[in-house]
Amino acid sequence: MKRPLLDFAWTRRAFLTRSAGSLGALALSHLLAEDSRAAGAQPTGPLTPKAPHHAPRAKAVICLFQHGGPSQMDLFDPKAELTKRHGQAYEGQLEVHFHTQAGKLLASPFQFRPAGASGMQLSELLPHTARIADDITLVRSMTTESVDHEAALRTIHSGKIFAGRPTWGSWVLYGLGSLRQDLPAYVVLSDPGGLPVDGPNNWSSGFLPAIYQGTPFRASGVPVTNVQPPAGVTVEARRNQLEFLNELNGVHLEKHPRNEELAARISNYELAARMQATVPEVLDISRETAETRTLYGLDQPQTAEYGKRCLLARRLVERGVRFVQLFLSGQPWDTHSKNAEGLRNLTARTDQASAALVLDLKRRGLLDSTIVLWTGEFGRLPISQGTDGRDHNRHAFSLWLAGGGFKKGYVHGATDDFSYRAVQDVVRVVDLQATLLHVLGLDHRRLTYPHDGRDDSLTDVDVTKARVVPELLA
Amino acid sequence: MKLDSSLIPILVGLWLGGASVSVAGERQSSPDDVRFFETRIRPLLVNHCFACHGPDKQKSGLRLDSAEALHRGGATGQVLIVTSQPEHSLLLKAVRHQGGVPKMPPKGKLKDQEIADLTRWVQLGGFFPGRGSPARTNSGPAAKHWAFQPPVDPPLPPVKDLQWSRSPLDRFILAGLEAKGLRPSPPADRRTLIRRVTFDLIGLPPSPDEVEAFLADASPDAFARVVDRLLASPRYGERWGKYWLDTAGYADSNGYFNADSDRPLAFRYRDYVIRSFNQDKPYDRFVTEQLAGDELAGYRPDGDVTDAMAELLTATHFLRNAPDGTGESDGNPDEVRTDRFTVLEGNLQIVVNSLMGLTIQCARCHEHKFEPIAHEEYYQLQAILYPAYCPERWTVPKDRIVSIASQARRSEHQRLTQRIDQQVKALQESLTTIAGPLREQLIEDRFPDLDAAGRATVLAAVHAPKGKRTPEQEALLKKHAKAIQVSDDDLGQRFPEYARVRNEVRQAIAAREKERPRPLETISIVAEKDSRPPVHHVLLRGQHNAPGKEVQPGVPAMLCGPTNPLQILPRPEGQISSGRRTALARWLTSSDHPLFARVMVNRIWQHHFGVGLVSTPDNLGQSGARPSHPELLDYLAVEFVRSGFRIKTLHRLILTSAVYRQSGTLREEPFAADPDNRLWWRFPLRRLDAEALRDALLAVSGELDPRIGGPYVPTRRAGDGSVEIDEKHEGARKRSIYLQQRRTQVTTLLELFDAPALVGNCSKRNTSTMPLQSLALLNSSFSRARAEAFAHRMEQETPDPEKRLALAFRLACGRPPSERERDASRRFQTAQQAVYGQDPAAARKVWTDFCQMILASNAFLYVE
Repeated sequence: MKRPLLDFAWTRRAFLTRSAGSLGALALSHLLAEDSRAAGAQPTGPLTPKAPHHAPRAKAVICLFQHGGPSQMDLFDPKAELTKRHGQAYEGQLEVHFHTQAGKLLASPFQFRPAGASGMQLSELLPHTARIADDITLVRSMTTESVDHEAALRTIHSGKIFAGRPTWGSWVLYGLGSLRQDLPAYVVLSDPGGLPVDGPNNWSSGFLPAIYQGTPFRASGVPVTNVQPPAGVTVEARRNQLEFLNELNGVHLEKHPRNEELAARISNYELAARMQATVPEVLDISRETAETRTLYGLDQPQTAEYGKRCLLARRLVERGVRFVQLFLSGQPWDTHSKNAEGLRNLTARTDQASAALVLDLKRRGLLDSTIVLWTGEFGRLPISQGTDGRDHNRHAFSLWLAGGGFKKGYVHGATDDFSYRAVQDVVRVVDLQATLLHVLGLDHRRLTYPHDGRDDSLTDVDVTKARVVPELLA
Repeated sequence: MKLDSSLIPILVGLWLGGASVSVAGERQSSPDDVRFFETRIRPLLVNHCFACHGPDKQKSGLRLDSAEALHRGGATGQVLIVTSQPEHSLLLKAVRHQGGVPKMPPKGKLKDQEIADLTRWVQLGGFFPGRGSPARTNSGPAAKHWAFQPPVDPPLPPVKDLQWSRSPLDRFILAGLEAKGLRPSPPADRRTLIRRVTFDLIGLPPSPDEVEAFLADASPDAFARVVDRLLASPRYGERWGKYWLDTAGYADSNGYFNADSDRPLAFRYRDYVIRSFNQDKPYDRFVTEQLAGDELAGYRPDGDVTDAMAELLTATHFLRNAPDGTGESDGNPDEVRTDRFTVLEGNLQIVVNSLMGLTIQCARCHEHKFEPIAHEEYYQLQAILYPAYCPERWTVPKDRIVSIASQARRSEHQRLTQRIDQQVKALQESLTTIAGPLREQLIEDRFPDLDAAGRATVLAAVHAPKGKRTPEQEALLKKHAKAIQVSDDDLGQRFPEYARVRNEVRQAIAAREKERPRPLETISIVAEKDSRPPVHHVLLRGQHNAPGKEVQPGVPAMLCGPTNPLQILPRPEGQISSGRRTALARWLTSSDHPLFARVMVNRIWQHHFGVGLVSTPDNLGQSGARPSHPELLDYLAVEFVRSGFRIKTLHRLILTSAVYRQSGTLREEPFAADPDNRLWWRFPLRRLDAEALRDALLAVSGELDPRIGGPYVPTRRAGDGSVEIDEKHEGARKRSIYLQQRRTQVTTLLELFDAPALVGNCSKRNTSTMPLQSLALLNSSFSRARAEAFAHRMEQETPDPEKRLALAFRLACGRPPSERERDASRRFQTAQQAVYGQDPAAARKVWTDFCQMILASNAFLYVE
């Protein structure tokens, strides 16, 4: 990986040897500068950029997480046999979650159409995704470990069903560090409707150091707290404050030489000052063109909110943020009843902007270096639950990937005649995770952290036998 | 290992040929054999075979996890092991991938060494030590693991320097340093020392007076008396109680689901913990109360609860600290059961983790791969808690409470409450009865234009219950929505006699309410309610719907010395509870328990020095870190037991040592040899933790509210989404331990400085260094408010700017400013004065800015 440019070489020594007067001035000049290059990386902090294990294809991730278990046979995985046998009993055993409500085979009410040059079959509910069909890899043969939401969420985020493990965003940060230190490297864009199911566990650093956890930008109100100086503290007053503080800390550091933590805290005041300028700038989408805003659906009430967060995701990645994750409140894809109606509403809300993000990244030349992952935690069953719902399914679900060296216009794997079970080219969640790390230049077998007396990892390869799936990569 | 039926002739041939066929497991195995099995064979079987031929799955009917099962063979009944002729053993043919036999493991051949090990094992008879569980053997590597041996009083190691030590424990540290040719550091100066020990014991800074008094005290025991003063302070329990609460996984909310519902009575347990630390309650007693306070108190669901019993019952809330979503479970019966088992698992994990320093979760689903805890033993431990937490006899959290009162008083209270309820109801009904016809009359009055039939139609519509109205009635009501609304005031104005009656009734109700007995004080507890303990089973693969064999209460065999089995005594007459938890407490607190005292002394050392003698305080097992000073750990554990488990005695022992009093100054030679200071050649520099930081900010600004205990001070989500305390709340300036500990709503300031959002428990925190912390100290309203109060305080104390300046440093940093600091402060104040020049509040702002920067500086944030 090309090391980030340290053009603003803010090394500790440089920082400490600057005269008090020029320090504040420099900070201020920086407050106003829009600098998308890697600025001010700490010399030895835990977020210092680290060399990957091998040449990476991508350096950033945007995960559009679809809580609840999107229904694959209504969106991505058409099944003629299911349509034909609609209303009949399913022959054979099905693992159901809500035992008492298991019904008959339930055909998808939606039409599928070929999309793009590849002719990828996609549901009529996804007209915008159809526009990016030639940019994505669609995986139809995903499987996971549990039909319980929380356990499946932990699996897809952190590799196992257990709580307390680091999410893969934390592993990525731990492995690669941050490209900038004036923005959090792992940003969570949650829904104004509230937290997703399983809350902060979805971006927990688990047993990794806390610095690797996701930073949730607030969906409403002020996204990052304490960015504005207290009322009445002018720019000049703040500059004097920082100079004074730096002098005090300088005296203190002389008594404690070689203390990296103290040094980091001193530079953090400077970084904090920079964040005061960068964070509002990132969040300000007013300078995006009307065309871009329309692309993301900001002009429509139904699509505006999710669209704005997709646009923010692009702006963050554009500025060097390593990992951005979008969440929906609750678990809206959990269509235990009124499956069709629920899917109509959700796709109307999210389809356009999810596709817009890929198109926008592509035209800006960012798609090659960014992975976009659209996924939920599991799939749904081919039989009905009650009259019009679908129950959880861990044996098959679909997801798509774009950018970062994944194949374009490619469909991977297949399920059985009913989309109950992935049967061909099965990809387990840990295989997906191994592949995602691989694309980012990390070897999932070597990215380990000592925990509970052993070197633990995201994929825990000795137990899971996780493997990179080369077929997904161009 | 699937056995092909085409093999039958071969095997039969072997049989008939009279080959000596050993029955697996017959042989008496030597300790060496056992070690061989535990280190080489069992891990191999666990990793490569059990997935298909273990407790969960038995492909082809074959299990390989016990001697009996191995002997039984697969569904075809064929023999797997031929001891005298290993090359004919089906097992070995399969793993060698020889022809004619299925290749095992199917996913890839074993390593040569592994095949050789299996061959040797077959030659040894394919034995399984004990009854198939490593923990039952008291052998293998676990048997030699240091932490599974009872601590023994070690001899004091010889040292060259006979002057340095102040306490026997110093000898262990000094010997470690001398072995590397290193010297300890000289003592810290007195200002440093009193700031260090004050934060250490009470989590607050020393006052300038306390500092001066210590400096002026020339007596040889001056420091020991400072320690005694601090240990006697009620602030001590708030500091050390918080460590315990983290270890015990304490929270004010139920967690598990997003609702994260309230635990309104948890604070009583928090206060019990603080009290216990302040009283220096012996640690064995403290733990016994928490595990089995209900049994100690002789609690019966239908019996009296005295104040003395209440204290013991409150302690049992320890067993309720794990997340518990069962008050909100609304899934299918399977999910509800899973949620209940999760509570049991969570609490067991906290018990084992906090009291024994072992991880245990692995054994929920299979044999623990790292610790000598068998799958079955996990469920034996669960069986101890099972009578209190049986999913079939579940009580949701909000109902797991008792009132502190005698049975007679509870009945009397209930009787009085019901009577007043009835009286109030009757009074209200009488008013309703009077109001009904008057209301009709008033409505009729409002329709003077309608004839009698028309008015009747309106009234009929008004009286028609919702949902049973005709469309015409609905339309009518909508049309006259305003006219049919009759408020109580409307009635009173139209009918003065109604107003009079209504007021009388209200007064009567108020009078009745005055007689309502005050609610009985309630506590949340854990107790058994049925004298017939439920039967518990091993749960295969950890699945609650896959019960295996029945289990009895038990503890891991590896931790039972010959003199310390788990003994459940016969129940005393009239006791409901099974006595299992009392037995657990007795077993744990036994003086020769290998882990109980060590885990606690290690944690206490960690809180004094930043790192434990074992750096993984919640894992002293084989997978945990090795102790840096094993003899010292044993010495402290033995002393702790000898003192009668007195924690304050242990503090004194540690604090009056020379190692604690060392300076933190960097010296090149030891730094080069031991940069991480694992040998304790100096005292480490430590940042204030989250609670100490907030509490110290309040103490320095002169605002700290010293009140002890009580319901939590609620947190709230502010407009910007951060979590804060309402500054106007009457308890807003209480210590951090009293703030609401809601799992999903951790106070942002504390969270930024690494306070955990408790999902499980937390014995060790990270210390992060993030720009968001800097932003909080520079910009948060909390930090600004403290700076304002600090400036105001100094304004009150002295008008002299020079004295004020010095006082600020004394209060925040425990010392006067150095010349350079003084100089920088003056320059800063001049510069700020210039900035704020025209502002009428300029002087106040200058001082506020100055105070805020002092409180953001490393000299305040770090303890030397």
